[in-house]
Amino acid sequence: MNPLLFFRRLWPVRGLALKMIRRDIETRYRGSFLGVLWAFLNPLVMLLLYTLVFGVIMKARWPGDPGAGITGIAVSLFCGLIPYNVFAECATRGPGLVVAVPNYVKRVVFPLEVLPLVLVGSALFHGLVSFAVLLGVVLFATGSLAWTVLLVPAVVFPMLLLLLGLTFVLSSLGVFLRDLGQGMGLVTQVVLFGTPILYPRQALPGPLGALVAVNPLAWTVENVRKVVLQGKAPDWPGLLVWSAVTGLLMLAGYAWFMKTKRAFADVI
Amino acid sequence: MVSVEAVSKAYVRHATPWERLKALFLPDRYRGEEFWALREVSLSVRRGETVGIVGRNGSGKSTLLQLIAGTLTPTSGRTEVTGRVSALLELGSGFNPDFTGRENVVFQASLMGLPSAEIQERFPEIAAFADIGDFLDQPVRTYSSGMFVRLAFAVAISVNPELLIVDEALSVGDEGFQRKCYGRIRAFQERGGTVLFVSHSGAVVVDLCDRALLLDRGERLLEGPPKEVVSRYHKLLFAAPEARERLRAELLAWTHGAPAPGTTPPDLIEAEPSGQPPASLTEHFDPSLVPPSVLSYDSRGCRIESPRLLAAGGHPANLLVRRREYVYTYRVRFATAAFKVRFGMLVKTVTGFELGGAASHGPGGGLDHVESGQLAEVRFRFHCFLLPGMYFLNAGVVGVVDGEEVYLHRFIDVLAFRVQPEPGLLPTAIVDFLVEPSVILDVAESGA
Repeated sequence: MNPLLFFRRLWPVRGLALKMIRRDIETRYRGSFLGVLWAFLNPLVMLLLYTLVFGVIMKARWPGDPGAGITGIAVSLFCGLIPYNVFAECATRGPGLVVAVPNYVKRVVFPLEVLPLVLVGSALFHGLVSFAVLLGVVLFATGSLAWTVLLVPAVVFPMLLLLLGLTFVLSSLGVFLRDLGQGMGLVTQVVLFGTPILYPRQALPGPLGALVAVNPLAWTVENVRKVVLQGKAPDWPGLLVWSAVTGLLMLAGYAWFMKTKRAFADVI
Repeated sequence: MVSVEAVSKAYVRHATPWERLKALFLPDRYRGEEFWALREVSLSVRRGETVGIVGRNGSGKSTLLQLIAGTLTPTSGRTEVTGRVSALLELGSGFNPDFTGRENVVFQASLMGLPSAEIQERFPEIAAFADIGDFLDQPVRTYSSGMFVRLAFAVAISVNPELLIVDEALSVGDEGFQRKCYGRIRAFQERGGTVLFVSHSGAVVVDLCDRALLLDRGERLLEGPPKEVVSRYHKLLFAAPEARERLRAELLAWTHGAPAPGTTPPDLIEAEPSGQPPASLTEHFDPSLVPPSVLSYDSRGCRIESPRLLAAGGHPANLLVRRREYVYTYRVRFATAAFKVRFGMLVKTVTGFELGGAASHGPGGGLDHVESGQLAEVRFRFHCFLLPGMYFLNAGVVGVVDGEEVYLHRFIDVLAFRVQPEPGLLPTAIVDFLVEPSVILDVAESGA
């Protein structure tokens, strides 16, 4: 598990990865009238709906942040939902990633390890678009943005490593275990409710709070809220620890993928 | 350029994909069912050489190419390839059906390692060679297989490879396009390119290749001048099973015996056709060879039982050999007394055409009187002057009732038999007339 090997192998195919990410995004909107505009429209409409339903109709306020206006709860939810959606896309599409391209496995010399990069990249693109919409709404509602917004890339870095590792493992396992795709649908639901996305961490009763401590997604969600909505610096020691942990997990996932890759052609 | 050393490839079939995964970590505990596609095949190709690979279906040609192209990993042995490889293994296999030809070309070319600027530069050339007009901007799924291979070949040859690997894909294109492809391959050869080539067309291999390799059931049978190899390949293709096995064994022995240069490999000397079936051909009984339906008429006092076909030794047979002698026999059990009883047989083709038969007694003859409860056995000895194919037998018993001859019992299609195929058969159609052909050339005009 030499990290250098990882980069030596993937660096030369970065152009291919970028091209494929583009293709993946294009494929999704191909043939639709509005095209990539949908990527913006979806989060925008969702944000407006959340504001309307939670902020205006139910008059709910995000606990711990009662001062924020009617958009307060919607943007808090969104700070959680954006990273979650990136995760969910990787988790649900991961198992089918390699299975979907038998030609690449069997008929051409293709660096299959690019596929997880492509999936994470494509999911990240959609996350970024949603994030841009979120920033627009926050700016519109409050008239300002905290400078700490610039720290978001650092805050989501551990999650991206984790997702990459996860996708390496899922896309490989999905080849051998075809029911994984079904299972992941359930897992994402559990993660949605097991992570302080729809509620703040403080709402969790004592012992359950420990759940958050070992959930890297929870750490990401909380710190995104911190830097985007509260204008506070992120949890720096946490960032270091999580980066190290997820980095190792990513390399482990990569090693697993490379080890199992030779058997793909036998079963696809 | 290409060096393949004692490469074997086994495809392992595991009960489930999950078993395959376990085998990866515990190879000794989880062994699947092995199928050897290649066994100890060696091949080396020098820069600038063109090597053709021939062999019957399933001989391991594609597996070998895939190993060289790197899409498969060998089970044992070593392959080494230097230089940029462009493989046209299967019809546009890297193409994404939802994207246009243009997008696929760009993508494929970048997959082969061409920088974007170079792709743009070469694009007009690729488009011109593929020559599929407006379809270039249509999704690839709308393409015909011909257009597919045009575009795929255009990309493969235009990315400036050092080694070009071409599977049978080209045979899909029309003749004009094939000619164009061979023209391009030739130009590529002249520039010093190396080509590995699989084709079912012996003529193309002889024409295009410097050397040829004959694979059979995963083994390297022969390597050498294309003409020699292709001729042995054709013999293998068309020889009778026993002759094929013999030639195969001889070629294997010859190849593995490190033959001295200049000697020619063994060949099949075809025996002079005598018109007689080979003595090695024997009759068999195939229990599954039964008539699709047996039609039994109503019995009027007797019943035909246990119809059988017997070979010379007295054992049952239904896979017969032409020109040999057989016995068709059945028994008849009489439930009531009968008069003037005669027995009959008939041989028919699959279409029901009546070829020939016989009666045990002439008209007006027959057994004068048969008592109730008696059992008769009827035997028809006959020569099988029939050509290979499937035939059916009838059986019938007639007797005189109220002064008139009627069927006492009758079976249609009671038995089926097959005459076994023979290689190099001279007689044709259905009946073997024991023809002895002879041809004299340059006879004098007069004297007829």
